[in-house]
This record gives sequence, C-alpha cells and structure tokens, in this order.
Amino acid sequence: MRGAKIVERTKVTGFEKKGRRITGVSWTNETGESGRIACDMVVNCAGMWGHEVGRQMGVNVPLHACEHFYIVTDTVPGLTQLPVLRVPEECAYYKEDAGKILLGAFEPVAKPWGMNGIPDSFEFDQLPEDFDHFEPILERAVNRMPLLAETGIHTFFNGPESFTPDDAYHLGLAPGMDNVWVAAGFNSIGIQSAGGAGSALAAWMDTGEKPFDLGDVDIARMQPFQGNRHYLFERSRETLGLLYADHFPYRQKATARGIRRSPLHEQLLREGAVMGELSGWERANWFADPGQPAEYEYSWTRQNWFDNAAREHRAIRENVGLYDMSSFGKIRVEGPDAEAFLNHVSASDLSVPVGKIVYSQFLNASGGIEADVTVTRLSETAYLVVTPAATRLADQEWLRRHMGAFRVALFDATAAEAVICVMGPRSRDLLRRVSPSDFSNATNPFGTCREIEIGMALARAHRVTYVGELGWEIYVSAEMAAHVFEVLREAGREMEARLCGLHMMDSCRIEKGFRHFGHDISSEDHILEAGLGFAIKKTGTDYIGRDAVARRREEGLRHRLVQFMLTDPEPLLYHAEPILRDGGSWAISPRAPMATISVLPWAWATSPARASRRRRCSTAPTRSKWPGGASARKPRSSPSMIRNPKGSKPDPSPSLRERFAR
Amino acid sequence: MKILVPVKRVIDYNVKVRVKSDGSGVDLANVKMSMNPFDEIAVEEAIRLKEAGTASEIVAVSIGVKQAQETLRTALAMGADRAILVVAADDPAQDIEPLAVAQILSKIVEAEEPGLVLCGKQAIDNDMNATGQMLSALLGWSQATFASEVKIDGESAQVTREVDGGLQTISVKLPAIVSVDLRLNEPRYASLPNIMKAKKKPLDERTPADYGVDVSPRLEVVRTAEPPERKAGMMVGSVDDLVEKLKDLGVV
Ligand SMILES: Cc1cc2nc3c(=O)[nH]c(=O)nc-3n(C[C@H](O)[C@H](O)[C@H](O)COP(=O)(O)OP(=O)(O)OC[C@H]3O[C@@H](n4cnc5c(N)ncnc54)[C@H](O)[C@@H]3O)c2cc1C
Repeated sequence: MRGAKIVERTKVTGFEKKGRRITGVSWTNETGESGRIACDMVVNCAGMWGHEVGRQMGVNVPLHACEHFYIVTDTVPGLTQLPVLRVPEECAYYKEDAGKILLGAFEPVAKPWGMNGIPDSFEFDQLPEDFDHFEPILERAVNRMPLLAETGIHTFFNGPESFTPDDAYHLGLAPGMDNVWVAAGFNSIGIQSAGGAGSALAAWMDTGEKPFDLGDVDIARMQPFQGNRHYLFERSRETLGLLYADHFPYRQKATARGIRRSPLHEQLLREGAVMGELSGWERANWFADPGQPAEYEYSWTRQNWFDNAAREHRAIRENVGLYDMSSFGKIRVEGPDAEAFLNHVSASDLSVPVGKIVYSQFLNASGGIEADVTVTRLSETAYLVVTPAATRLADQEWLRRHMGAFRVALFDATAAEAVICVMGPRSRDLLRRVSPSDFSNATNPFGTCREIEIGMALARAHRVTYVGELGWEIYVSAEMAAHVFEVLREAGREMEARLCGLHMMDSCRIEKGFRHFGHDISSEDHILEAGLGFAIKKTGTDYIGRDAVARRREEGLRHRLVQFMLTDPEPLLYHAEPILRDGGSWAISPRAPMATISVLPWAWATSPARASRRRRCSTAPTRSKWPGGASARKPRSSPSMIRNPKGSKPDPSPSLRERFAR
Repeated sequence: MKILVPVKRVIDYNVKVRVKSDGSGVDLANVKMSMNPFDEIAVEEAIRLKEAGTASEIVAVSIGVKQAQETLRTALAMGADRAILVVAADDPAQDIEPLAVAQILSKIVEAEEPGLVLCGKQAIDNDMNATGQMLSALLGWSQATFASEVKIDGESAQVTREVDGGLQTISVKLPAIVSVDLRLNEPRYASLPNIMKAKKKPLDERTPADYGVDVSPRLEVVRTAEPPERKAGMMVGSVDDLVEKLKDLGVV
C-alpha cells in the first residue's frame, strides 16, 4: 500500500524490539489516549530530539542542539524581492522576508543548548535572545547593509537547531538495527535539504539500495563514540560556524580532538607530526622539519606542508619511509563458514591458502561498490578484513546484514593491532636489520602475510601496499607497537628512513593508480566501470552483485574511471573539477582529492549520450579550458575507449592488476 | 517636564507558557523574556512627548531581578535617557507585588520629581492592574487609567480613557499618574545603532533597602493551572447547517 497517514500531537513513548528489528511503536496523545503501531520499518526524524529517540531505539544518532539566531526588521518601505545575500567572512546572510529584511548569523563559536535533554514540549518555541553574543555580527551588518541603521528591529529570534559532528546530516539505515532509518541533524539547512533527503531516503527504503552515492550523509559513517554527549557539546560549538567558514582543503576541526589515538601518537608528535582527524582518529598527515612550526597554514594555493610531503613522497619512491596506519578498520570474520560467507559477500575468490591477502570489493545488487577492502586469510576459519578508518562500522554492518544462516562471528579488532607501514625500495633492507625473518620474494611474495619476529616482539608482516611496491604493513599487537616503532626508527636512522604522513600516502596512491573508496569510487559506481574487474572471481560460488556484473559485461560500460596527467603541475585539484574538451562537456568529475605531488587526478569519463547518471558533471559551467591552461593527458587508457562506451573491456591500471592478480 | 516610566520584565507574549508540574508557578528557566507590552506603549508615548518638545527627559525604572537591566536597555534603545534598576529579587520566579513596586516607585518619584508617570495598565504575567492606582494613592497624585489618548495642556493633562461604554475624556492636574491602554500608540522598534548606543546610557543600580521598602510577598499563590484544553470543533456544510446546529445547541 502506498500513501501515508499523519497523526499529529502524538508522542512516541517506546519501541518494541525483536533482535535487530523494531516491531512496534507505542504512543500517547494529549487527551491521554495511547496505543501501538506495528511496523516493518521506523524512521527516526525527530530533529534535535533524534539523539534521545535514537537511544531508545538502540541506534546512535550523534547530534547536539545549538542556539541559532536571526533578526527581522520592521517593514522597509519599497523593499521588493531580493536575492539571498551571503557574506561568509562576516558570518551573515540576508534575505528579504515579506517586505522586511531577515538577517541570520553563523557565528564562529556557537552556543550549544539542551545539554541535559531537549524538553518534550519545546516545539515551535524560542530561546532568550542574546544580544551580546550576536552583536559583533550585527555591527558588521549595519556597515554591510546601511538600511539596517535606520530601520527598527521587529524580532530577535533565537531557536535551537541540531548540528552533527561533521556538519552533514544523517540519513539511511542505522547501524545496530536492521529496520531503523534516520533523517535527522540538518545543521540549519533542513528546509533546503528536505526535498532531496526525503526522496533519497524513500527510494532507499523502497528498493533497499541507495539511489546514488550518499556517503557524505550516510549515518553509518558515524562512529559509536560520536554519540558521547560531552563530545557532541564540544564539537557543536564549532560546526555551526563552519557552515560559513572558509572550507580550506585539509582544514581540521579545532574542537573535540585527540579522542582516538594510535599507540604511537606521542612518539609521532615528538618527531614533528602534524595531526589530522578522521572518524575521531588522530593521524599524522605530515611531519614538520626541526624548527618548522608543526601546524597547518591553510590556503587555496600550495599550503605550508607541500614541500614536507614532497620529501616524504620521494622517500617512499626512492628510499624507505615509515608511517602509521593503526587507524585501519580491522574486522575479524571467524567461524566454520567464514570462507563460504566471505565468498558470498565478496566479489573475489576467498578460497585461498592461509596467509594470502586478497584485494576485494563487496558489491550491491547493482554491481556498485559498497566496500573496498583487503581480506587476509589468517587460518582455516579466520579472516581479517582491513578497511579505511571511516568505513569500519559501515563495512561491518554490511557483513552483519548479509550474515544470514552462515556460521560466522564478526568482531571489531581495530584497537587490537597497530599497523606500521614500512614502504619503499629499501624497505626489505630496513626490515632485515631488525628482524631475522625471511622477507624474500620466494617466501613472502606480494599478497601474502607471515608472522615475524621484530625487535623483541612478534608481528605479522603483510606484503601489501597502497603506495606501490616494495613495502610491508607490519601488524603488531597494540601493546608492542611502541617497541616495534622504536626499533624500526632506530635502525632506519642510518638509512635515512623518513617518517611520513597521510598526505604522502594520498599523492603516492594517486600516482600508483589506486582508487580510494568514498573519493573515487562509491556504491554508485559499478565495479567494472571503476576498472576493478580484475578483482572479480572467475569461477566459484554465487555472490552479491554477480548478475549485475554479468549484465554489464554483456551490455558494455557506460563510463570509465580514467586518470589524467597535467602537464602543468601548478593547478591544485580538490574534487569535482570539470574537464572540458573543446569547450564541450564530455568528461568530468574527479572526486579524488587534490593530487598533491603527483599530478594525476582521477576523473570519471562519460560519453555524452550516456551522461544522465553523471549529470552533475555535464552541467558543469563551461568557464574556461583546463585550469592553468594546460592540456589534459590520459596516460593509461586510449581516448577511443572513452568515446566508445560500448565494447570496451575493463582496463585497470597495470599496476593494480599486476599487483593483485594471482 | 521629566517623565518617569516604570517597565517590567515579563515572559515574552509569543512564548508558550509552561506551568510547572507541581502547580507552584510558571517555568521561567531559559525562557525568552521581554518588556511588558503595555510598558512599551508607555515608553513610546513618553518618547513622542519628548519629540514634541513637551517632555525634556525620560527616566525608565524597573524593579525585579538583575536581568531586568535588559528590559531597561530596550527602553533606552527606544529613546529613554537614563534608567534606574532596583534589584529586588534573585529568583526570576519571585514576583514583586504591586504594593512593593508602588512603594519603591513613590520613593523614586520623590527623589526624581517627574511631572508625569506613564505606566502600563497591567503586566501580562500577573494581570494585577494595580500598580498605577496604588502609586497614585501613595503619592496623593491624580490618576488617569486606561489611556488611549494623552494631551499635555500646561498644568493639566487631557486623557481619553477606554471604558466599558466607549471613550471618556477627563482632565487631570499634573503631576499625575497615567496608565496606558493598548490603542494609545504603536511602539517603535529600536534600530541596531540605537540598541548599541543604549549600552552606554546611564543605568543606576539600587536595592529596595535604599528606599527602606520591604518586598517580601504578602500574597500566597495557592495553585497555578493551565487553561482547559480546547475541545475539537466540528465542520458544518452550509450556513443553514450552522444555524440548525446552533439552534440544536440552544444558543440561538
Ligand atoms: C533560526 C533558524 C533558522 C533556520 N534557517 C533555515 C534556512 O534558512 N534554511 C534551511 O534550509 N533551514 C533553516 N533552518 C533549519 C531547519 O529549520 C531545520 O533543519 C529543520 O526544520 C529540521 O527539520 P526536522 O524535520 O529534521 O526536525 P524538526 O522540524 O525539529 O522535527 C522533528 C519533529 O519530531 C518530533 N518529535 C520529537 N520527539 C518525538 C517523539 N518522541 N514522538 C513524536 N514526535 C517527536 C518533534 O515534535 C518535531 O516535530 C533554520 C533553523 C533555525 C533554528
């Protein structure tokens, strides 16, 4: 049945749960009546109450209310409709509102509200005004719009609104439960976002699949700790103002930091690490030289860390570098059916010998990429799924929801092991200095892992890399990580091994042609079109997405992920830059972050006839040619393959295929 | 002529008033407060008299909690010249009763010697409608209540009052107390520069002890309750149906 019934002035008072499902919702209304509604699905769209309602449902909806201000003037004679004016550096917006001027504020330090819970009855209500808080913005407003000096102020409005830790709203299926959906935390743009959010959520609920990439707002990106109210309180001071602040590339949040730390955190800081935050993890993004201030100087041109990252990049390319990837999500999959289960969820063949590492994707029914991971077989019945820090929960939920009757257990082993990456042509040399174990190609070829002795500890050496061969990821039990790091650092000195950060990793992996989930590829992108067909199993059992893979093979690709090389290294590409050919609109939309040292950004290429799915690209402004006037060169695929959407075979970058082909 | 305008800080007229669950009063924690709307009308009238050259100075007075200084700043932003704040309570829930207010005002009047006191006819929180009258009695001054028009005429004021049957115009000898009603004027909204300048206007802070007045309550609130819930109405199809229904109900 379609359609909806709206019951007003009725409070949800409780939820009936059966395992991971809510089966009924109980309610009362003002006249004292009460009842229960049986349900297949529930949507938590309780606005700033969403956090508390989520707790009752058993799901985490991290948001905090903040006071939010605007004023409305008296009627201004002769005022006609005006466009909305935004003045980001003055934290203000102006709009004509029925013959009056409405002036709203996005002040840099906001006032969180409702720390002890939002009163039930606080609907359509307002808070006391706070002129002193608002005044600095009002002073500049009078200067910006002089008529504000003459007209009286009719209304000082202060109403609370909910803000999330990353300023993006929460949408989708909530981790922890299988039929609880969320649409909440709209960060003061709930009115303008409502249509799209509602439509996307409805389509997702209806078909069970995201209608397009919703990674930025998917509730599964939120980490469990982000439901902590003290954290939310601290972070929400900043997020309101960030809506209007300059979103510099790599801009780091200033509040609520230092919550998830690697076992190497203090050691790295002493060595000049400049930290960036992701999903609560503090991670070294780059290393300052002795005497250089260990902090970001943001700008829209090359930032102050550019040369540092370039040296780190070169160390990885020419010598050896060390970096900390302890933030990797590590999901253990164990049980008698572990192999069968992973073969069902993953597009790759996981019937592999113990010690084998497989690069793999989990697909949805449309062949879109839901997860991009490596899977290591640790024993007959145990696998380790390694995923980026941001996607651990989402991937684990994906596994959990597809578990069915398979006899497996999942657990999050992220904190159990640190990961120290030893990468570069001389990485083997360095490891040999601290370990008597055998790192030869014969014993430990690419894509295998072995237990090793290192220093006075035990660890696992995974011969796998995100920056290009040669290199190892050393998985070491968290309590021994500091020791292993010391040993490597000490031995590395003679070799001038360099400490590196994640900016290096980004530039190296782009140079190497490795995709990054969430940036270059997402649930919207078909595995074949992403050029990852080589990772798909040739034979074996059925798996999720198999039909879609077969269909695409038959019908041909609609678009391709290709790389461009700029001949001019100066222009910085952040994401979604249009790439125009002859002023037209044939190719476009690199979602990849700025290519830093390497000048090889990713781009999705679509033939015009098939551009609908990537419309955001083809409607790109036809401003100028390639920024900086350089021409785009495509080093790895032939132009004909881009023009001809049919018949082109997936053609992964050789490095990727070479590395992971078995 | 100097005009004194008492202004009260009350719960904002737009705010949904919540009665505390134990019935002991209204919940004022973190609730938007504003100047009593009738007092805004009094401030506006004083400013108009000053703009017309009839008045020379406007002194706004508020008696209540410390935060009442925001209310005084509003009066100053609208156009009052200076303010006196008498901090008589710490707890915003403590209402200073009309007699205590009138007693303090009478002392201030003795010191300030205004030619006219313009006050609101009642405060929208306790609806007492008593302060102006009590002040007139304490001072022995003439009073004109529920004013919808005020004209100063040398030594007297012509005041049109809203009474049950219509309008009544009386002449009172100055100095006098005039309490203002809704239709006297439409108060102005302060502009941003005036709000900012108001912060620099003089505001004198006092206590009831300075005037020798005891503000402890004489009234006891027995119970506070919300008005009964409105019953749902019914839709009727036509005027005839409506008349029929009204007849059935015995109202016509
Ligand atoms: C001052 C201000 C200015 C703004 N300006 C803009 C703007 O210019 N543009 C824009 O796009 N957005 C703006 N916004 C933001 C926008 O108003 C919000 O993002 C939007 O209203 C949020 O919608 P929502 O449905 O998520 O939450 P809400 O509108 O808060 O709805 C949540 C609902 O859930 C109900 N609820 C909670 N608990 C229960 C329960 N247990 N049982 C039943 N029901 C429950 C609540 O009663 C409420 O009705 C502004 C917000 C403020 C405060």
